[in-house]
Amino acid sequence: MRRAWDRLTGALRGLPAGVRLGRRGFGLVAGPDPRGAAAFIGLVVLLSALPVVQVWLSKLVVDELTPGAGSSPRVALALAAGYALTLLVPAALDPVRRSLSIRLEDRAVGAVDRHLMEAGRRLEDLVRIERPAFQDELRTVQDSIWQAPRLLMWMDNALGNSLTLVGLLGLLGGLHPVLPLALIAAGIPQLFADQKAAWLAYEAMTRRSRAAREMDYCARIATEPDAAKEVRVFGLGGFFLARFEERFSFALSEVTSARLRHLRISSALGGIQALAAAGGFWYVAARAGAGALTLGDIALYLNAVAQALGVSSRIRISYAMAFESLLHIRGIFNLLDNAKARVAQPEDGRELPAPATLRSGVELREVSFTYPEGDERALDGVSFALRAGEVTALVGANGVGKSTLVKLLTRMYDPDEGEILLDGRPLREYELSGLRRAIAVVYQDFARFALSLRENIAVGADEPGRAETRVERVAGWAGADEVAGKLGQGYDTQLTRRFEGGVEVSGGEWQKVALARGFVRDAALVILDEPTSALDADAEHRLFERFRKLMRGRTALIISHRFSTVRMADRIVVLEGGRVLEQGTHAELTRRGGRYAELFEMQAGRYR
Amino acid sequence: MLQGTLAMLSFDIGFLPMVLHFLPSLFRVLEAPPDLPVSPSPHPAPGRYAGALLAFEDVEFSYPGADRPVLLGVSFEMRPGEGLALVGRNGAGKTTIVKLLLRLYDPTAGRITLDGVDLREYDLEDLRREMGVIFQDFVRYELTAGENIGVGDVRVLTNEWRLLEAAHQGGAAELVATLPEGLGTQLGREFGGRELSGGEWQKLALARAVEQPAQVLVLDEPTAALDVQTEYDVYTRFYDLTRNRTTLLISHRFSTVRMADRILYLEGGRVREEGGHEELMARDGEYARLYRLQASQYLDEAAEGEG
Repeated sequence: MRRAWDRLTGALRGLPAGVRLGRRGFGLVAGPDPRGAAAFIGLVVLLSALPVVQVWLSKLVVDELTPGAGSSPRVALALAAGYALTLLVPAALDPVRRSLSIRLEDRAVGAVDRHLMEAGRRLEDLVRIERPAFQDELRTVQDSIWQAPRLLMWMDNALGNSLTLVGLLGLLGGLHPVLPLALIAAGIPQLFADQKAAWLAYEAMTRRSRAAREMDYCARIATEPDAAKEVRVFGLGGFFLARFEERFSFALSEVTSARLRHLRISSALGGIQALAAAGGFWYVAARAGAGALTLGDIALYLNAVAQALGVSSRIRISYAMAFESLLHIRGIFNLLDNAKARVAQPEDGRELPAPATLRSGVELREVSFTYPEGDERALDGVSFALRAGEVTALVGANGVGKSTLVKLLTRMYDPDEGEILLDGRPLREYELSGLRRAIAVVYQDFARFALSLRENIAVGADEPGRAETRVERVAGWAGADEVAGKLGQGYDTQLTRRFEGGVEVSGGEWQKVALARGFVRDAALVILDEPTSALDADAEHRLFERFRKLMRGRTALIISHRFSTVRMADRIVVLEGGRVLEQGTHAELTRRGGRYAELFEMQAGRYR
Repeated sequence: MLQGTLAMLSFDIGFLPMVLHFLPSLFRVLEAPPDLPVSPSPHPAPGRYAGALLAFEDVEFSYPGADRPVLLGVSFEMRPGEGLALVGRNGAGKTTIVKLLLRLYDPTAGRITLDGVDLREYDLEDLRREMGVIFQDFVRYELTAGENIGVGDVRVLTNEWRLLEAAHQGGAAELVATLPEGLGTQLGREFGGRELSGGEWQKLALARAVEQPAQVLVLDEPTAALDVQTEYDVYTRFYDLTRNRTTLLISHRFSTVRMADRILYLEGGRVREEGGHEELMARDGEYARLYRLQASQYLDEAAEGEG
């Protein structure tokens, strides 16, 4: 009893927040089509009144037909016709209600999808996106996209049925005021049980989110083209299938066990309401026997109770489902509300505009960085400068933190310690989107978009839509013009074979496309991370013959293991153990006979 | 009440046509036959390719839906235990040759034979078991480090000694030693594992390729992302790695290519030049030109300082 009381008061205390969430959630799902939603609700109210009228008419018909004073078969016939109408009207309006509901739901799904994409855009750094917890949350939300819009349907279901129930209970109240109260009180425990079951279902879903993601991963690896070659050659189909099944049985047990227990409890509690209904019948029959109630009253009681039991079970289900939809919506709102970049943003009005060309360059001062999940420093007090107008090359062993530096320079992360200065001012004082526009990056693991060749290059521009004329010029610089020459529809050829009619190009050809993407932007700072790893000898040579000209007036950073590429830089920085080991020009460093000279000889010696 | 029940029933029945409509396409996918023709009486792959010769005989190939062929009649042989290098410009069809060799596609004309028998006659699984490979776009599995190596041959997934040996050969031994849980360390960011750099992933992929007890080893740009020291170490051990195996190496680094027993220069869908490094240099063709072009970037001392 005590627990039930606590639950009740707890539910009441949570009510204002629940109402706020409900209003916001309703806005989310009804927002895209407010007039459709209003029409839908009007229709639901109208349809919910009809069962009450129906029960009342049935009582009147029986009373008219009961022999006695003032009974009239003609009036009874007219009433019966009215009764028939209450059956026909819903049949006629129901298709309208259903198509409205489907329309609202589809538009709501689209709206939620759009909100999520916008949230993704607001996440301007990688701090959250690269976190597994965030991926888990995202996985849950993917299911929520389909669950949330049903709030509308379930809320209206609950509302319509509640209106019907109030009318029916009003009729019963005419027989005795205690009858409706007893019936309603007897239904409450089951309502709470169903709500709890809905909550458990949602909880289980968020808990199995990791397992679901692992299942998704296995399915993806086994069916998507990216890994298709290895999966076939190594015969990995069975390996990933076994892993899938293992995760599946875990996920299934998470979802089912607790929820099933609660559904059993809920069904048992249904007996209470049945008892109340039976007790009421005993009372009505006794009163009719004593002549205090008419036969019509008994008809009314039987009809009303039968309807009320059906209606209240529908309310319970709708309420529990609406509650579950609300939980999904709360998850969506959590994600949307937290979709903010974690890197610090300058205050409004105080942000610096990014420069069109650098005056002094970029300076790293004692920069240290550890990844959020990492256990050791990726960078440990790195200091060097990218002088304006110069090409700087960065050399170092795999895993020394070269690509991490690129992420810090583009503010995908901020350093934990130390500072990065751009033209003498801290990077974080610049307006973020402007800063990003001023930097062109060719990543080592560049994206291969399922777009046309032209679009694959144009996406690198400040304004991709207006880069058309530039595309073909920069393609020539990167050697991507040759790729276009080979393709059936030139620059308009669809790349990747993801969609019908697309073509795949080779790894080296993709790299040329990625390079052109980097050149299409008129950037102050150009960063190339392993730009020539897959290029053939001719293409690499031609690129570096042109590179000087391309970089005129810009500042460039090149990361490479190819010393043919590295040696032409104005300044070379050697990174080791998270720190700068040595720096200078190629001539200085080879004369010095240090690590750089040793590495250069390792590569050059194999050509002698 | 009956009315409500009927409404629910019609609602449920309303779904039926949709489900029935969707089922055929589902079954079409689920019951799809294998794309490659299966031989009715497959040969087992030869246990030892002693004397077994892999040969491309006038092989032509176009990708489905492509408007022009990639290969226009490629012919060459791979002798047992031989190291063969394949060079050519980006898009020349080098990786396509690898795909045909592994029977990920079949030639549109011509044939590939093993021991004089068409590859299509062999049991596919058997054939692939004898081929180890590292692709240019190798997969970064969101699994443990050990599994990343072991998926090359799932039979050794639990054989720690074998996995460590492979890590050593692929230049990944040091990397594995620095991982917090060694071979058991979960990798990749998706499930909260340790994220590796591009070159570190490649070391594991290389370990995965050499871990396979295969007679043919296919290496498609195996060291493109490796740092200088690791690349140097790998090629110093190259003879160990490829001993007793027929090796096909694809690379744009001529310092590596020159080590091969035989080099094929591919252009315009055909093999244009073929021979050992010295032979091709003496011939003074495209190969020689490209070799000198690249070597000059390292050796031309006059270039120094000019940059």
